[in-house]
Amino acid sequence: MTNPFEVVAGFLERFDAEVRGRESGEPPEEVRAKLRSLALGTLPPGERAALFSQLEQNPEWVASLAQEVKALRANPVRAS
Amino acid sequence: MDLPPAQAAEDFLQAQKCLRGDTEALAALRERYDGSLRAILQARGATPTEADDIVADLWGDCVAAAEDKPVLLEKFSGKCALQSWLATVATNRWYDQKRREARGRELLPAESGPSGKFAGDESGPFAAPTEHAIVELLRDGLKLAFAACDAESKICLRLVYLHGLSQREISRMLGWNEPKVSRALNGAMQQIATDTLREINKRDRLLSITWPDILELCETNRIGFL
Repeated sequence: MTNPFEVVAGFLERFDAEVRGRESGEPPEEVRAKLRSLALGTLPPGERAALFSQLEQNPEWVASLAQEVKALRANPVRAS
Repeated sequence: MDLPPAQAAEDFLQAQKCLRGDTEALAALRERYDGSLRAILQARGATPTEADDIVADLWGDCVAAAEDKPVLLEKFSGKCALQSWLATVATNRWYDQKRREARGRELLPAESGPSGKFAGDESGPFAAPTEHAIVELLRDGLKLAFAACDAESKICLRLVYLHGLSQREISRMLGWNEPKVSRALNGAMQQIATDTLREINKRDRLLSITWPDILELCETNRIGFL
């Protein structure tokens, strides 16, 4: 069953793709490092808001965050 | 919104039969969906007469090409329920018609030139819209609702519903307990629905639409028809 968020986000993305064109999906390394920290749950709350704001501007980077979280499924790391 | 494979196959088969000239198949389709299509249009704001006219034209266009338009059923891909697809076609047509009528009433008679076209309106009041008016309304309403949603909630909704992360993984990421994550996600989605409906209602009181209607219209447009 398609979930409601997927329906409306998919509908809107049709228009965003037309406006924004195709962009690179890979975040820069300094952002990638923060995504790793966020995935681990170790990113300080103060930096989290800024990172979420960056992700909002670059929704294609959300996939990279998802990858970092999924990588922990195979290799769980305990944060110190 | 996903269709069971057997139903999807049956719907597509019925459509293909109609296109091959099977009048019994078309009659069966009309019998099955005529009443519900009229009811759906009226629930969305059409008068009984408007619903009757739109649905009658719809059946006519299903298997016969109208001027400069392809045969309607040729555009049905079978990726959604035929009823939903027909309901969206009917809604698009009805709403486009209402918007054209409203634009015609807004302009003063003196602005209409000898050709019958309205001054300053290059396309003319009866030109087909490049995008259905209701698609624009949905797009604008949803965009505003999404803009009002905070970044953290939007990203978490994407992670869970588009990228398949679990709420447990989100809770570990944010340092929240799982009930809090669940409440946040549900709350954000509910707010998007509320804000979208409010915005659409504010822009056009003609349309009487529910959140399930919006999802159906978005889904049918999303999978690419017409």
